[in-house]
Amino acid sequence: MDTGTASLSLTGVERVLGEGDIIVSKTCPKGRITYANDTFLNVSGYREAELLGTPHAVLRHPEMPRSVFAMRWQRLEQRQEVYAVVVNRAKNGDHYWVHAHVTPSLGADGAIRGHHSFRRKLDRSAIDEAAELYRRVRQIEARQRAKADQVRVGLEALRAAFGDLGSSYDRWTWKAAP
Amino acid sequence: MSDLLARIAETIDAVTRGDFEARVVPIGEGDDVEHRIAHGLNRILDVVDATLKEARGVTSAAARGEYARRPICRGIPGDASRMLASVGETVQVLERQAHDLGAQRQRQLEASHAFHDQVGHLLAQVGQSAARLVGAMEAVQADLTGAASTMGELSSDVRHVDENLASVATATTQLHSTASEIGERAAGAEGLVRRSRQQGQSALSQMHALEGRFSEVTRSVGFIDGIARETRMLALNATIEAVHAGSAGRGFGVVAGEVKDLARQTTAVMGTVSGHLDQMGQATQQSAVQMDGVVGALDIISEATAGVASAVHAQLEAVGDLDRRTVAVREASERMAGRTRALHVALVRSKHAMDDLAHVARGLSDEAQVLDASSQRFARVLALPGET
Ligand SMILES: Cc1cc2nc3c(=O)[nH]c(=O)nc-3n(C[C@H](O)[C@H](O)[C@H](O)COP(=O)(O)O)c2cc1C
Repeated sequence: MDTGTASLSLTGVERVLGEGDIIVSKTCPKGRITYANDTFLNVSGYREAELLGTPHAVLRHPEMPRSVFAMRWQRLEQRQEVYAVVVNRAKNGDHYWVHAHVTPSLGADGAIRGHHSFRRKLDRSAIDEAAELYRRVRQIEARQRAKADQVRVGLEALRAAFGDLGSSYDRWTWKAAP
Repeated sequence: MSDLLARIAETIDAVTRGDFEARVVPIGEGDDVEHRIAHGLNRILDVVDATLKEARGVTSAAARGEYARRPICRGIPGDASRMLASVGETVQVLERQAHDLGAQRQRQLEASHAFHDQVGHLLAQVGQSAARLVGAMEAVQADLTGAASTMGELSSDVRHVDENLASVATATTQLHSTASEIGERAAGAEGLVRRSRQQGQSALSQMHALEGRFSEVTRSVGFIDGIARETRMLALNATIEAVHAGSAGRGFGVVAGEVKDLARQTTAVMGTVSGHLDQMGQATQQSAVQMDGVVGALDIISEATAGVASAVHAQLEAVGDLDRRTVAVREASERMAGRTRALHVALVRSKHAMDDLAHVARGLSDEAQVLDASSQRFARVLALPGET
């Protein structure tokens, strides 16, 4: 089941981004961090040296459904830009919600050189809606033992909520950070 | 030269070559000038990089016909943000042109499927209907947003026409009070101007009423947002129940109740909005006819003015002024009549979309009914395991 993340401590304290805050990171094609801006360091509580070379999943919060990451990665691998509403876990166990825009960076030969992520503040009402929605999807996923099954039923649930997963989930995220 | 300074120089070189993905990495810890410059350079590059990516995202989505993708400017400062906003406006123009085609495609997508009485399948269908409902709601919202911007333009037209008609009236009165022969000819024009002013003013008050209605519709549209939100949750509940469809049937009744409730709410809002749209449609038609009347009257005034002008050999400044005013007000009136018609078309289109929506809501309600019946049957079977 959820080994690793479930055992991490959480404080329940929310960190809230300012209107002008932007969290920027870059990763290698597999998701290991190659750049983190100073706002990233401040909000997450990690030091630059702790993040460089580390998988981005270091920020994974146990309440994030697996299926959300799965569908986002699918689109990234098709070289499309993706959006997501994400809750992250800071180093000390606090959490913070962001609107994330991730774009693949392509080399001259068309191969994926890495990914770029640009994150900003979410509206409060969007955070409330996402928290409720993700709680239900997690509930559905948690009934399955195997990771692959969790992703499968989670994707089914997301499809029920959003219909076509590509554009309709995207539109939902755009409303969340005008 | 320190390592950090060397990395700063390398980054600047890379950017100069056009690589805006470059950053100073690692920076390490410290608060001296070098560190601050490194962070500052990265911050500048973050903004430029993000702005380029955002602009590329929006324009390439538009090129694929995905006009809903608008620039998200939050967090991007100053001129960069304004540049993105103007990219968005350009895409909006493109979208308006493609709108009619899009609406047609949407309707095809919404074509409904036949449905089975098997409970699991039914629940899945409720989810689909719900998603379709959200899609249709978004379409109505888009239509109404378009109508709202036409409405704004129309209001300023109306004010313009009214101002110009006022000065035409002053000019004719002035003429009327001058020399006797001109005065007589002007008298006819004066009456006409008075009548067309009245028509213009009644169009104006129509518009005011229309604006009032419009704000009510806008409020209802906010309400649609709330329903869309509940619909998403409902679809999820349906899925949760579908997952243990085999084990217990108790949840179905609850979902069926929620579906019925939602369908009722949707139908009620649709009814309100639909009523407003009907009235707005009638009002726009009336004011278009009135504006046509104004245009006709102004043609006659033009003729009268020409008569006056030849009588006085254009001596009077007032005649020239009257002529210019008449031409201006005629142009404005025509523009206004055109926009009123465009608004009318937009309203009719929204009305059609509303009808579609009501149709989907009715379907949802039917599905709920079947679901309810099936769950009761199911409950009976569970309660009486021996009897079959
Ligand atoms: C550029 C980029 C940024 C990412 N940002 C986050 C993030 O902020 N939080 C997060 O949990 N996962 C983020 N991910 C996804 C992770 O790589 C990972 O897929 C996710 O945390 C799920 O972890 P798991 O596969 O171990 O379940 C990001 C991925 C990329 C490529």
